[in-house]
Amino acid sequence: MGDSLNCSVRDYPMTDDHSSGLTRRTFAKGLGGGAAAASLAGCLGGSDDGSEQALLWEYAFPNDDTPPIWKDAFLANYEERAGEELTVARFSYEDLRQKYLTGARTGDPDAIEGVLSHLTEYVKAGHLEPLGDWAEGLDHWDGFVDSAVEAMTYRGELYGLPYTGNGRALIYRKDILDELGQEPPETAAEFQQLGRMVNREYDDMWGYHNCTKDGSVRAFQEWMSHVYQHTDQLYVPDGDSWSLNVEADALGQIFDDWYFQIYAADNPVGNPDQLGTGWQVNDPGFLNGQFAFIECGTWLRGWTSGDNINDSDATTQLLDNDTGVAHLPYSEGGSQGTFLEVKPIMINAHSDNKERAKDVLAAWTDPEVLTKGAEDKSGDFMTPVHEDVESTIDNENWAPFTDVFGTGRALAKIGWGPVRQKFYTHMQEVAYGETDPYNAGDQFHSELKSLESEL
Amino acid sequence: MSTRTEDKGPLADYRETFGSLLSETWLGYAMILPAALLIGVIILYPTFRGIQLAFFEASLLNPEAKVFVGFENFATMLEDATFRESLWHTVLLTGIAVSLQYMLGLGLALALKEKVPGAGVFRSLSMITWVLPVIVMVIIFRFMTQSGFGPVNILLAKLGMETASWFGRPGVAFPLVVIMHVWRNVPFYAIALLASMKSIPDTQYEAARLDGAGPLQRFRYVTLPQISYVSMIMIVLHVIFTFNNFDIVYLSTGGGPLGNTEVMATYVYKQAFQQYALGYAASMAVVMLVIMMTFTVVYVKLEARD
Repeated sequence: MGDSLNCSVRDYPMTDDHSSGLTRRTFAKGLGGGAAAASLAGCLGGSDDGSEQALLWEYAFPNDDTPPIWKDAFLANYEERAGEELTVARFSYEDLRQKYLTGARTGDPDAIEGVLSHLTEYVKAGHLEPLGDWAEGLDHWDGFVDSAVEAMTYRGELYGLPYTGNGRALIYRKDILDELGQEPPETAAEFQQLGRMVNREYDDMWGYHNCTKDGSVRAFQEWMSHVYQHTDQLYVPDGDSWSLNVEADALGQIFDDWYFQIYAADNPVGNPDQLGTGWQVNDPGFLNGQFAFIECGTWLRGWTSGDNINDSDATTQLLDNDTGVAHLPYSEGGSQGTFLEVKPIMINAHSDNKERAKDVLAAWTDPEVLTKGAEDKSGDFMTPVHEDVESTIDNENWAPFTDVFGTGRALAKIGWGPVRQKFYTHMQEVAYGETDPYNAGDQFHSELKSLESEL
Repeated sequence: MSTRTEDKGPLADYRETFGSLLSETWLGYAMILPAALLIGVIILYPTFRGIQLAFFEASLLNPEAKVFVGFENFATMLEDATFRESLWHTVLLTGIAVSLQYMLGLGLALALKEKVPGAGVFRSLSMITWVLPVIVMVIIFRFMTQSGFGPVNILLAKLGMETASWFGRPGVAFPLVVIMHVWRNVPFYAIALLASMKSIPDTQYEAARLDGAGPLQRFRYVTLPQISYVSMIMIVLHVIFTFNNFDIVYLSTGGGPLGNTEVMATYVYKQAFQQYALGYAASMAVVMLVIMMTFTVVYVKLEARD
């Protein structure tokens, strides 16, 4: 009875007049199938009608409790140009690079901010849109500093717009040098002598610190600064390939002067107990009065508070009155030169929204917006890359940064990853006293040579 | 019959129809289809793509232009001293960290099981290490061991002992990485094992006591066998977590100093994202996958046999 009841109920037509032929069973099946299809559609992503706001990834705006002057000015400028709002997402540079290299083909983000080595990698991966005539048509195009624009150019094609730049300089304790009756050192030998003098005369201070942590981007930049004292470029174009442009002796000399003498020599200039540390020790260490010399960019100027600062007043006094800036000392056979950091803003070649991305670049590099940036993050605009933006240098002690900026060299447009990886190995072996600096220089040179065709 | 149906109302009809449909197998398949497809897209496809990539030479910067090289990546691995070292460090880290975590977690669970004053509060607080973001934990440890102002060094200096930035010291960095793993996971082991111990009926302990069993024998013959399943789950999971762990090592030492803390996960990352060697990195990931699968299968089989 039950079976026959079920059977007849299941087979009942849905409508009273039996005209459509749609049974409850069919309807229920359809509903189930529809739900499954809807779930699938939901899981696999909805439609993209191209009407979404443009997306920008950045790591430039200050991320503290202060009012976001720069960011607000940029967003207002963008909205005026684009007539709509912009979605901004913040990632650390390392995350940003990794996500972009693996996911740029999805079309997101439409625009991206970064560092110069990113630009090179993104170009090689085919992820950047050439800016060509569009950039030259910008109202503020003519004001960009030539060297900054040159840094954004690869094989004659412009791939990004510069917005900030700095050259790495020797930051020193002016008061300590005055007490010792010394002038800022020009050569590595003078520098080491002075550093050892500081170690001798001051119990609570070390002469110098630099970054030796494996994988530290800062460590690589510090090393490159000294490479640029021996050559204009580590690699130069050679047809479709690249050619190594430095002698093995120079690499050995750099290892000796800036790693072996600092940490592994009998009377080291730096504190061997601080081997393997990065910027987290380097910059706060200087700001808290632990080091007489460090190598640094302009961002140090405004760093007077935060978790890393022991005494904000003391740090302010140190930066205002007791800090000096000079060219980095150079080894024998070298000359003035340093790592030039120029930061670009770029367009994703796979973006569906390139016009909005261009608005992002135009707004980001607008001198009025950059001037607001100088109010918000003064350290980034001491050596501006646009002539309509005034330098934020407000203290003559910091004025030499302008000269240092002039001696800076931008990274060659190669994939730097393999070079960096080999550098960390040799640098640490030298700094930890595991190998002779000149042997390391020889070996490193031959390894760099073997990379020529891969870069 | 039709009268009966009308009496139940249209909703009852549909309920009945749905009820009968639910018993049909095809609907079950239809319902799991979205989840199955999702798993296929999110888990299976990347896995097979990774395995496929292991047999190609491919660059991160231009992954489309890949060249089939057969087993060449695996042959390169055999000659790669850094790979061998990172594999050894990974095995060592996993073995030491998981053993210590289990032993200390078991000890802590036994202590918490007793009616110690404040055990409830401690039980809640002890989970903090486990829920703390890895980056926060690493910052705490780096700060504590920092030269000059780190509490560990201040204490060592007061005791007249040597001070250093310990994460930068070869020979010390690796034990510190082990300590971070242990510090983080011991409470989780303890809570899981404690929950398992709580499910053992008191009557079993009473019976054992009546039979003359001492504390050690009660632990050996009553507690241990009944927490073995949870122990197996915890150990297998943490072997997999530790073997694959990337963030603790990368954030604290970056694999240094002098490669002393380089593990397979960080080496794979460096190959893929710094050397751009996507194919080689994938081949190492395949080796990790095989090792982990072998371990899991063997362990589960052994446990089932016991």
